[in-house]
Amino acid sequence: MFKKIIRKANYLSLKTENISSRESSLEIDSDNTQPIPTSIDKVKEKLQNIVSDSSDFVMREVTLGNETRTKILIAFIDGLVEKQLITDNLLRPIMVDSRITDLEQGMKVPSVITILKENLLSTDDLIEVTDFVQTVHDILAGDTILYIDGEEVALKASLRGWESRGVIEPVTEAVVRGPREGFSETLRTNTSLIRRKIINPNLKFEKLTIGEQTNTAICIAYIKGIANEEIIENVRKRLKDIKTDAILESGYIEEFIEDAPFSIFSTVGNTEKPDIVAAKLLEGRVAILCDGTPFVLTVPYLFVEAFQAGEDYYSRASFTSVVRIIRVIAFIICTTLPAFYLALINFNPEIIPFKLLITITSARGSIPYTTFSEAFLMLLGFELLREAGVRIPRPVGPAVSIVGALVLGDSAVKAGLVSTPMVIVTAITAISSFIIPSLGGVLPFLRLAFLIGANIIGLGGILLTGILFLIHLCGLSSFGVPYLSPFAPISVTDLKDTVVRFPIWAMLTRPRVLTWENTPELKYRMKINLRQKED
Amino acid sequence: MIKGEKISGMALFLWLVTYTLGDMSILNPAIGAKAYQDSWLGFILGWTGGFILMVIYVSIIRLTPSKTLFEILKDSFGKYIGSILIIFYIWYFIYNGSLVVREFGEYAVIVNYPETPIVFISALLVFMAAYMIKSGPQVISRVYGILAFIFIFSVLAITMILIPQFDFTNLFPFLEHGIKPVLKAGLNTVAFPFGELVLLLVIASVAKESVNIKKAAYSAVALGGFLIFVTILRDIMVLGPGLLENQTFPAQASTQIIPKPLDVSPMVSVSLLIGSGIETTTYLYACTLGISQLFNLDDYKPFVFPMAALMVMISLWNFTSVHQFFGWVSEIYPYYVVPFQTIIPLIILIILWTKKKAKS
Amino acid sequence: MLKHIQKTIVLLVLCLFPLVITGCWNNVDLDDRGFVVAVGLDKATNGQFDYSVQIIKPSAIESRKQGGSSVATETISSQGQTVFEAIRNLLSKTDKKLFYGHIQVIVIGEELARQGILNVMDMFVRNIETDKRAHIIIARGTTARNILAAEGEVQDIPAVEITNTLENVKSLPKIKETKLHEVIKNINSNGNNPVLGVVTTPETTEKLTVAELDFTGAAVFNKDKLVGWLNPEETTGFLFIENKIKSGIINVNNPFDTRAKVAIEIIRSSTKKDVRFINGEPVIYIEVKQEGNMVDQQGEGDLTAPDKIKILENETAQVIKNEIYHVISLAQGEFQSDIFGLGDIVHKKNLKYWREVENNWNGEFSDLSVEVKVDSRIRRSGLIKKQAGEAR
Repeated sequence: MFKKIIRKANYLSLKTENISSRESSLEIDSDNTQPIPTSIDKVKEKLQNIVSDSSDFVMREVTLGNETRTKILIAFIDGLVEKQLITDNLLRPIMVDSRITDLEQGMKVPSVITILKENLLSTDDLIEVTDFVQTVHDILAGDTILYIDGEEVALKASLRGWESRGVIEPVTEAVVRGPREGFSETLRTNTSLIRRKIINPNLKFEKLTIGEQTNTAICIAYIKGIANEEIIENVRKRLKDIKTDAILESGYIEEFIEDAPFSIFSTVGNTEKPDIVAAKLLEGRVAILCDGTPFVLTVPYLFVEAFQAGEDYYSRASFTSVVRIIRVIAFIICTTLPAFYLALINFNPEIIPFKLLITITSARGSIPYTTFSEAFLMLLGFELLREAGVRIPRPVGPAVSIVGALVLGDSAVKAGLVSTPMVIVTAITAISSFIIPSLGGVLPFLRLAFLIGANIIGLGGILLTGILFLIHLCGLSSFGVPYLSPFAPISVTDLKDTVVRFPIWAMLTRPRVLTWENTPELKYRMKINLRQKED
Repeated sequence: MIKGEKISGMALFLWLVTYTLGDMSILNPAIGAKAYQDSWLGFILGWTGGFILMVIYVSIIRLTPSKTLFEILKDSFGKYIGSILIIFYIWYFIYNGSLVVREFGEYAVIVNYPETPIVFISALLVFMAAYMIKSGPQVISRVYGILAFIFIFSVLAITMILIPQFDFTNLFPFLEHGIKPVLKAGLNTVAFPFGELVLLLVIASVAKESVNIKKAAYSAVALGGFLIFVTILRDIMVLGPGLLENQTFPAQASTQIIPKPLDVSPMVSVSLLIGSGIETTTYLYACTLGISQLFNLDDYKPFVFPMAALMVMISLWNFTSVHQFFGWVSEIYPYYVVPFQTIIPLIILIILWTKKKAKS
Repeated sequence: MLKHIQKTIVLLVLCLFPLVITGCWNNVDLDDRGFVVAVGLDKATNGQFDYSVQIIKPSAIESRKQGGSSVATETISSQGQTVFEAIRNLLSKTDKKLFYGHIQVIVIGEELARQGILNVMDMFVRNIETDKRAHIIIARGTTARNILAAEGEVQDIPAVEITNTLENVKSLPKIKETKLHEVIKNINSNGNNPVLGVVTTPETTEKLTVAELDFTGAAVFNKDKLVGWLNPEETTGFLFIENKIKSGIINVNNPFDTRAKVAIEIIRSSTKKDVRFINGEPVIYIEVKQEGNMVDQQGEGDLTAPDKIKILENETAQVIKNEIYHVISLAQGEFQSDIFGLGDIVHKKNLKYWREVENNWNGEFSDLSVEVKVDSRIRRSGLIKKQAGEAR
């Protein structure tokens, strides 16, 4: 029996030796490089072979000059380019302007490439490419390639433009105060949004391509000098080691690079807002942008970050501290409330005030099954409702939710399926669980674990389960930084931004945990001068 | 030498404080010596004894930085005698660990879970300790760095809540039964909780080089001792001497008197779980480390679960009833531990001093 | 990799066990518990213990809420040679697991109390589950079982009604309410004998309701045996000595109209009790400081002048003094029992003397002389000055 499971597990294992040895059925393989044929007809033929069935592939043959009549083949993908720019900046100069002026004269070494590059084509960037495979890749990515008859070099102009969602407020991270920009699906837009927040030459964007079939563009962003060199190197190495077919979303990358793939806790953070990414970069983290998704990953990711929202830094410190404490309380409630209810009712009724106990007992009188089963079913029901709420079509949503919930809840109680205290417990748990969206993936497991712990051995079970989870968390680390910093290896200066938030002028140093012991001279932010007393 | 990342001074301090407090929040070391309301006097005597012992331990550590107890034994006594002494200490650690496990199990069964078989509870406690040790000593220090605060908070909270019930006259008359019970209580106190700090000799090697062991150790004895002192005073003042001696667990009785509707008995269980947990974990850790260093092995991790199971077995086997348990602890235990806690460390210290003198 | 997978699978399977184990030793579902709110102990005619409990019927509470009239509790009884055996025999009459974590009151019959309550108390103290804050009262002239059978009118649960009435001692110092842990503390110490509350029934033979029960007065013990009773006034005196007066009324004679009374409400009272050694002999020394307001003037007369108030104050002080002397002489004479904790004080103050007398403290105590000082003040007299009818 184990053999089957182990065989299956090997597929999932991180040693993916099988994939790279697979035979490539394509003529073009990402590892090959081919030179560009000098004859345009040959180029045309090759391109036809490769992209024969795609109707959006456009090839335009033009001639340059009056006398020389050099043939130029312009290739691009319709839908990925700005057609107007091609017409204005490539076709018009080549077809019209070159005939008006006399090109060959006045040039020291007349070469078509030089003429095109320096005199004629008025695009903002024009790069020479020598690898045929690279040119195909670039066409598919949205660039425009000019193949020149008789030359081994092709020119690449980046005139990209496509329909995109634009920079709008992200749905999942709405704020009351703060910028409402959110990332979009285009990598270049995202990098520009970050650039605008950090005007600093040390902000670097390193480009990578990951994914055998999709060739997705990935960007590593960091601020050189603030981010820890070891972490950056670690990120680079892990990304380069990814060998898979497709990277469609940053979530794919997350699962490949995370420190503890078998743990329910995530060691890689994500966000949709550029100001949050900028803040994290400034603290010394590294960001990973992925083309095709607005969710940007940030590493290292610590447990406390789930309780911090970007908005916290734009509101007053006192209010934010209260909100943070509420978040912590909500977390504790939404994981342990059903378990506490069960433990107190079944193991320690003497702790519950007498009158409340009588009410609960009389409410529970007619329920045919045990408290544990009741709690379990309510939690299951809650998860079902939550999932349904995400998928429900908009017009039907509100009506179903309000009326349905009321009617369902009331009828269930009257039918004797659940008891009223249980409904209340579940309702409070549900409300609390929405306060911390970033921990959403963890909560059902925690709830269930605490519930089982409470069922086995009461309050001690809850404590024991809690300690076991704590042990697990203390052993986790995210890219070398202990997961529970600044609590676990205690770092008092960093505690200013965890459960409560000290005012900005009191947080004098960058988080020591991230720039752990490597950049001593850059440890301190500029100390903001408090207003001097007037004499 | 202990491999891996080392812990900071603050983490070491918290570990030691929690370890000193241990299961003292429930048990009272001075009880069993029949000192009644003079238990606190006996405790203060024991506290000073604890400080003296700490001087011995800290001196040993300063003379042999980053070395565990077992390496020190081997160095001081030579390979063969040292190995025999290591075996003695391994036995001492595992037996003490089983005592702690048994005591926690008895408490849980008497107070909270009368029908549950004690092996279940002991197994859970030891499993938790074993899981922690498998993750490494850094994880142990981190976990208890957090739990220490909960522990200290609950002890102080219960004391605060009981302040209206304090009756200062319960402390009189002084020395009603003479000085002998007080001395006995003092001896008990040196035996546990302070003598158990011989474990410091093992843990100190997990701390970083830059850590000031002296500061951490003395502050731990001071703070830990102070907290135990507070609980002893509280129990005497709330319950009165007669009731105090009669209780199996004084702190439990105190919490039951808190007026309705407040009921904090879970807090007592919480603090005991954390306290017993750290003692078990540390003993188990020292034990497995000892075995691995006895045979000069690289890693102690394979031994964790077998030793854990052994500890549970011993805890079930060592006493047949809770009366025998408490009787043994109050009568024989203080004398049984003297060699391990006092005599051998003294000898080690003397040997190290003479060696140092010989060198210079 | 292999080992890891195997380990995880084994762990997962182990984790599935708890879902199946629904009755995991101490895991008792709420419906299976019977909440005991009152316990009654008597001496049965055959020499065994007669043990009664009042258990809550949860379904009855539901129907009462909706207007039904069924009784919310039921009372069952059993017998046994030890208390624990009686409790176990009770299980034959109920299908629930009895739970003592919320007992409100323990009633002990008079006959049993005369024989000694320590045998009965032991079980309750030893058992971790019992709530040590339960009230204890002695049933005078009736059995505990009768008291338990009394119906409650105001509250759903008679035992809660009993406890609430007992708590009224705050306003009416004629009731003595004692909690279980206080009794144990008292029995444990040599010089402090317990005094417990009392409940008596009226003469009727119809169905008893809690409202008809009378809780005033107190029961005096010597060690753990019942030796006598205190009437309501004597209870007030006792509470004065114990510094447990929170409020109360003292009626004094109207100086103008000796047939009428003036009521003084006690606002604050504090008592210091001490044993002083004069010439090596102990003397009981009690000092009371009390403040009150005049709240009800019967009869005519102008009581607003300060010298009249002084008369009232002196009268009040005298009344209190008399009550205290009376109680002490009762304790010294009729009961021969130190119920004031003076022995404890001697123990703490003068160990040598205590060692000489501790074996016969109750006898020694009966011979001690007493000094009582009462300082009584009247602060205010309400909204009007003279009596309501007198305008001129």
